[in-house]
Amino acid sequence: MRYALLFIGLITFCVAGASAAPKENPVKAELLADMSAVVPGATFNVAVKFTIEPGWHIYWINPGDAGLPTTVKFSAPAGFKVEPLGYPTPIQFDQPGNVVGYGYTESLVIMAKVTAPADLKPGTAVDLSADAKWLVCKDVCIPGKAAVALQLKVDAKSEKANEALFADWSAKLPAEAGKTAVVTRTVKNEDHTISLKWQVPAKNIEVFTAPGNGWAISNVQIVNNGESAIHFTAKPLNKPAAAVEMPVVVAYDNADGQRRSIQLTEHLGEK
Amino acid sequence: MRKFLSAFALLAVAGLMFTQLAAKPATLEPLAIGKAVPDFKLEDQNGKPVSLADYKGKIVVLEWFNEDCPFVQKHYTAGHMNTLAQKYAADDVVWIAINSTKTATNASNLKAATDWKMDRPILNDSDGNVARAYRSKNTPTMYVVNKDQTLAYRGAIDSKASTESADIEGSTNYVAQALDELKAGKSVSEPETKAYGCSVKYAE
Repeated sequence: MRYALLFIGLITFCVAGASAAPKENPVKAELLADMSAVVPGATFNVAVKFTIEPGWHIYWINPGDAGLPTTVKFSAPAGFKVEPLGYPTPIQFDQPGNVVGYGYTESLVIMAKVTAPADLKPGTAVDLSADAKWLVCKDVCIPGKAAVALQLKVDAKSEKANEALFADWSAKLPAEAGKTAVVTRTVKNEDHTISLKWQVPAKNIEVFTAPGNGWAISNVQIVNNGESAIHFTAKPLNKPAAAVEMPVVVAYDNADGQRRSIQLTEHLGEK
Repeated sequence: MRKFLSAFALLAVAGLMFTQLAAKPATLEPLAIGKAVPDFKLEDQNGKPVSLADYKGKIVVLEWFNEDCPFVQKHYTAGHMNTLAQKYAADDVVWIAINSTKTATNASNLKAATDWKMDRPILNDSDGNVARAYRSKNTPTMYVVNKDQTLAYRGAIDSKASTESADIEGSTNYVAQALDELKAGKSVSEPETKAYGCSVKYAE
């Protein structure tokens, strides 16, 4: 049995290239681990690193007005446990014609936590792999996909690997609100307000919502007045719309000027 | 008392100054279902002017088009979009493609129509004015216009957001669904969906 987890796959496949499109896909993908070897019973992280040519972008779980989500499906041998860690904090791109996109430029790292079975035999090897799919856009959009693999030795001990990369990108994953902010919510018909009483310095607040296909989020406003109040309108596209638990990512600059985020869940529709 | 009031006013002004509005996307409301759609007059791939008002009394499908977009190619490489347009042409439905790509010309639209065997207009909206009036953000974005030129459907071509032709089978085609329901004298069951595709490559 193989573990095949992660982001619901929207399938992208390279159709005949557009005339204006470059021959090489502007995105390269590779599979990395944060350990040099697999220790029986130990937990480590793997990641697909996307390297994106300047000027191009790929997309978050909600691509915004256009595009497709980047997806990664990790695989490991039987007995391994694979837990995807979600999407890092995206950025917003504003394109002509009021077309708003959410995603990543330059690079993206999507990680999973892997736990090895305790009965692995030192001296053997472990094959890890991932299927990555994306749509990359600039003046044109190009679908891309890659099957990436990594072989690690099983050993009684291992060294850290790619330490800075995993540390940087772990910090970019949305965290629980926890001690960062006290969150209160009000909902009046279709109008939602999320109030955040920040417990840490937070500047340049941005909000990203992932409503799925049944709901439209509009009139997003953020009022910062010591506290932050996030207002938006959630309308079902067609009635009745299925209720959803919508991820809401609130990004901010911390005291050190680093971009960080917290993830909340907003209930849309009938309870 | 006056001192107190002016101090209060100062505080209020200071409060306003610290109130900062950020992140205001999508200020334009999409076109409303059941309301009149904007008229337009554009040239087709042969330079012939086409206006929506010419087709009063007929159901019209508007298809936002860009031959370089993989989501558009998905519906043309295996001929699905042409098949759909031809099928409903038999019911007197007019099907018009509109290309709002900033680099589009009548010549490039003629080439696309020839390459993809499209026997229907591809209108040149390279300045993006009609796309803006329709709030079109994607290629493809689909609109079904009633005989009285009110909006019957707006959104995606079908229910599977992907660039792969193999996904067409097994997905719900919202345009076909709307046209079938209109033909049967019913109201459109899903008049609004979220369009998927490339962004319309608007002129700045």
